[in-house]
Amino acid sequence: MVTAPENRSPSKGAMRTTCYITRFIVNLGHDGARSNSRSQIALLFAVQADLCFFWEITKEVDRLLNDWIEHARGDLLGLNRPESIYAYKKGARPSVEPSVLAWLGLLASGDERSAAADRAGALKAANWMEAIQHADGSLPVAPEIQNPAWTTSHATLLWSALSGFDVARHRAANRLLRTEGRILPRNDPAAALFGHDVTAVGWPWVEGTHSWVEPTAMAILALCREGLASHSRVDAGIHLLLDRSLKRGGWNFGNSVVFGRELRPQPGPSGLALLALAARRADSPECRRGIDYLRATLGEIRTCVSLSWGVLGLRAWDACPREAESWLAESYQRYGVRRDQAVGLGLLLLAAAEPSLELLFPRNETMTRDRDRLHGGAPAQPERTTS
Amino acid sequence: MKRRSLLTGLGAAVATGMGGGLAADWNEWGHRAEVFIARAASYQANLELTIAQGLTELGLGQSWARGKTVLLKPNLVEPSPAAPEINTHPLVVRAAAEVFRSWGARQVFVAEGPGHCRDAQLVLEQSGLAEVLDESGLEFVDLNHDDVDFVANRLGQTSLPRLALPASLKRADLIVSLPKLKTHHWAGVTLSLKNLFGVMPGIVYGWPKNVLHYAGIGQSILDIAAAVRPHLAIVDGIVGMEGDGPIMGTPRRLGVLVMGTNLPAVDATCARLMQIDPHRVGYLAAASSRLGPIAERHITQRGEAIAALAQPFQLVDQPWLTGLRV
Repeated sequence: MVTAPENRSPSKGAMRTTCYITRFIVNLGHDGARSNSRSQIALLFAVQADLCFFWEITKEVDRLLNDWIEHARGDLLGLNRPESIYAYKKGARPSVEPSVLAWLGLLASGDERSAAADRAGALKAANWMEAIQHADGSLPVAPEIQNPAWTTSHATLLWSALSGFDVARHRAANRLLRTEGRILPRNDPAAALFGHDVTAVGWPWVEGTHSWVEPTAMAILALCREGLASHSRVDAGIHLLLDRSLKRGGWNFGNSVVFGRELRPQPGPSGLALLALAARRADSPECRRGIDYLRATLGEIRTCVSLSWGVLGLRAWDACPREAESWLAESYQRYGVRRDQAVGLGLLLLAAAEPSLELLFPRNETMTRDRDRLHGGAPAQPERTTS
Repeated sequence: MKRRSLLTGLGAAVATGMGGGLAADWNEWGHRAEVFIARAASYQANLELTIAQGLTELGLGQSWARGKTVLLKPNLVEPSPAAPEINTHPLVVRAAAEVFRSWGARQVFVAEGPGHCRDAQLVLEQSGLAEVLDESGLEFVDLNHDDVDFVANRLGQTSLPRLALPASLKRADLIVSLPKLKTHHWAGVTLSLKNLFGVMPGIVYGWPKNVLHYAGIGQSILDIAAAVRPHLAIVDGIVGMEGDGPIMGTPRRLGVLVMGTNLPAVDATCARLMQIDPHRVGYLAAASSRLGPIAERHITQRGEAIAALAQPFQLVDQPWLTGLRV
């Protein structure tokens, strides 16, 4: 799980490899040029000097990129309380969601030196969550807020990243399987006002209300992580996500069309939906449109939460542009200054760290994604299932 | 026979109308309010001066704000740079903040829990408010993720036994609702009262505060207003929204700022400016007997006259919205 900082970024690795290959070719040319003209030799020297300069620049970029990650880790560790639990902002009461996202981000972005401390901190937070778990397996948003319990999915993901929480995880997963968003009967007059399948069953923010994109995506991630990717509830959730996608690409918060008007796509929910669909490898035209939307949009987004979910969604489909790393660094520079944002910092680290998908996707499963098929190849059959 | 039926029907309608009018008068017994309508042609106008003059006309001034902590609650729903008419314009927020600062407020801060979007920073960025907050040194509190206090549901219009309110409300001596003037595809209009939905924390009520929809939008509005008890409303009606509000409607320039200390009265005036009868908007009609007056003769209109500025705002063509017109 632990990755050395130097190897953390695929884009930096690619840059470095390009540099090595180019230097090798130049050196070959240099050797051959001994028998050629002096001007060619001079030219090759100049090229090599430029490449060395480029190499130095690359190293500096590496250092800066790794620096922000180290700083973000430091900021985040500075925010936690003695019990290693986090609040939505500094000085506020502890809550489940910031604790989960902060520790997932720290676990994903750590190295050999920090692994033991990260794990110890995450364990404390996981123990705290186990202590506040309801008898029915659900996890409240916070000890003071016993309802709702949409954070059950979040806690499951953190428990799953650690060992020793089998009972809590299984109880939570069972509770998730019993939680359903409220549907509208197809013949309800209000059903005609919505463009989506109002009978589709996903997950709500609050029990007794309709299903929405973000809690449904989180529940799918948690259940797939628990080895329940083939469960009929996950099938139904996938159906809901595909059904709620927008024709223009991406996802709104829940509805797709209301009163005949298609709503506007949003980066955060779109990233989360793509992440959940990737956990089930549910490739489809809807995914491709979502990827296209995010690739066209994320370059303009720098806020931590939306950018991070967007980057994770693209990474899950091997569709993340190289520039994303600098977007995350910029996001930290711009918003990390407000160092009381545990959710934002945790998500930035999660989006930047290479092993993060291992913490979010089904365990013991190598994600095999066919990049050619996704980008320009023959479209795959969408994996659409119904409840 | 038909004629008799028609006359009988008309008679019944008139009687009902008269009865309704009498009932409204009776219900509003003791409720009186003043509302100021200010003309503001554009966001580049001197909005600070306009707001200061309007509030002064309403009898508010330095003594009202001096030493107080003021919470400004704009209407921020979801991010969309292409549709600025969704959200309260940042320059209205800044102007209001500067008025209270100039009146000696101890602190002014902006607080909102965007209705749809969890990433409040994105809404701030894309609405242009982030820049204004930075320039003006205004603190922003994300009410969706604030600490929560539970209070009893005093009014009890919904079946919710208690309401979760953000802890930051307790910091404020004065709560100012700063909504956008819009039509609403479910509720008819969304103004200073409906704007209070954004106070309710998303971590408890979800996004888009779906619990309150199931509990009844109109009833929830009344329960929240009774619990939050805001002190002032300043409505951004310079460019409002008509049709499929609150997010998919079209912009409509009205060129006004409407302000007052009684929110039902302010909203009733705004409805009339949109040529919508406030008595036919369910939650406003219900508010009239509980939270303030909406009958025209119980509201002292100051500033511009309604008749000179009113425009017919379009409504979505749905059965529950027919009959809202004046």
